[in-house]
Amino acid sequence: MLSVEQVSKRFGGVQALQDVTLVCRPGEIVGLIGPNGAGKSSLVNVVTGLIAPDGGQVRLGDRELAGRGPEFAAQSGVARTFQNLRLFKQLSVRQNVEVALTSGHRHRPDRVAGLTVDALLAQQGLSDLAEAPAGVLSYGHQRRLEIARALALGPEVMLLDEPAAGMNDQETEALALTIREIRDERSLGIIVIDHDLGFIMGLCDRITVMDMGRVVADGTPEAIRNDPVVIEIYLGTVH
Amino acid sequence: MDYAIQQIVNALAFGSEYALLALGLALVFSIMGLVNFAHGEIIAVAGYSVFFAVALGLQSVLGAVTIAIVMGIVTALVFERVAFRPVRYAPTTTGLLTAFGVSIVVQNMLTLFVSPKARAVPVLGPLNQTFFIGPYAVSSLQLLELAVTIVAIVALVLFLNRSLLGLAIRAAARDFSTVRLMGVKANRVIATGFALSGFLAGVVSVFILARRGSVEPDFGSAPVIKAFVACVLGGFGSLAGAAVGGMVLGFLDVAILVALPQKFGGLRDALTYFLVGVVLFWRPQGLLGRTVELGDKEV
Repeated sequence: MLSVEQVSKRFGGVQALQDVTLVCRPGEIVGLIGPNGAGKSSLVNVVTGLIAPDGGQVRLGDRELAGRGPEFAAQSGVARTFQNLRLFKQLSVRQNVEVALTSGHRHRPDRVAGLTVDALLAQQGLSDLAEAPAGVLSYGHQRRLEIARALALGPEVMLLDEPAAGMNDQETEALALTIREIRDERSLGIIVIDHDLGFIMGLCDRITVMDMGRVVADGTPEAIRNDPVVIEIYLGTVH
Repeated sequence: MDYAIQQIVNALAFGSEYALLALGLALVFSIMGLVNFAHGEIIAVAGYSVFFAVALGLQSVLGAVTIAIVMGIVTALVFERVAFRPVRYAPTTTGLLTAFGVSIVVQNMLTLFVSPKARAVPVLGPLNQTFFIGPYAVSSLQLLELAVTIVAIVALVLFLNRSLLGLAIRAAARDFSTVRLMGVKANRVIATGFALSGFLAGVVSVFILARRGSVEPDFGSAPVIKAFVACVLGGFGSLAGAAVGGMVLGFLDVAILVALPQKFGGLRDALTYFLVGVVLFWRPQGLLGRTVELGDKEV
């Protein structure tokens, strides 16, 4: 289980995160929403080890991740995808997955036992493209490759940063299906950040809302939909 | 005809040396964005190590080559650990100034503790012999330089394309933080890059020693300026660009020397750099350089 407790981070004069607490259990899909600048990306960067928080804890199981760097987080079982795809474009599709599969599991060999590049590519429908350079893939295939690469880490928790960005309704629906499949198959904890409220509401078991660096609401999609604070953030106060 | 062949061999030899030097710079730059002007001092330390070994009684060519290469690797790793790791995530200019600092400190130490003057190191002389293939006088050193450069480039390409650490290095060259998010240790990738560049510096040191037969404090720094130009010419950060840039620079050097009347020989460097300038005016990103891709908002 991933648990973020009382995490704070200040950049110069900006309080990017203030006492943020968030939990993601195995098999749970958590939505993380909030307006631009709410601190969602900062939180993802803290959990994945790219940013050391000023205070608070980030735990995965009994392992403390805060301030130990991205390699440690990855090897402990945290994987992520990016809003603007960050594949290794000059490497082949196969090599992209290979780098993650062979480097990412040092602390958790049990989680990648039986994982192979071929199986991961097949699962995402990329087998025929294995030898192509990742940079020439279509947008949809690149998104799928990012997911395959993240799964190659044998993660316990996976953070998807705006996975539906740039997708049409049909593609978004297919993506939601894939995310659920991954969750069911591996009992992963999944945190999804997105602006598409319809997508988030339909997909997630629980939603955490952030604003100005704080968590302002947390609950089921139904509860969030009717939360006055959330309505105010998203629709503005009616004067 | 004889003369032309002779000059082509010269150009290939010059070009090989520039290419090896430029590859060392490009490797480190592509991985961590550091323009390592202290690369010359890695070459110098390797050269001085051979000098000390000779002073202690070493006489074998193989021993000298081994010492130069091992010390090149060790020195590169020490520079990385002591000087460059603390400024790894600092702005590029900080790394550049650190490299100049290391360069100045090491050169001055060599001046103070050894000698400001050139010291003879004759041990590698046997590598540099002239023999005849038919009517052509050929230097064994020049052939060796060409052969070793080809082998080094092929080995490097194989390593970067086939081994997993090589893949990680190539991936890191474009996007370091994403590679770390895949669980690849930054220290390991960077240390490997430095070790490879130190290996190349050791090899270059052997060639310079064999040609000149002596070491002095600026033993490595002068050639590294040329290598830097080769990198810029080829496209900074591109390994293929570094090799091509080195070769082109070698040919430019020799062509200008041949074309210029004797009394203008001193203008060689000026003309070379002028032509490099013209090339960059035409292709500002270098011969094989790519325009930089813009990153996104994640760290």
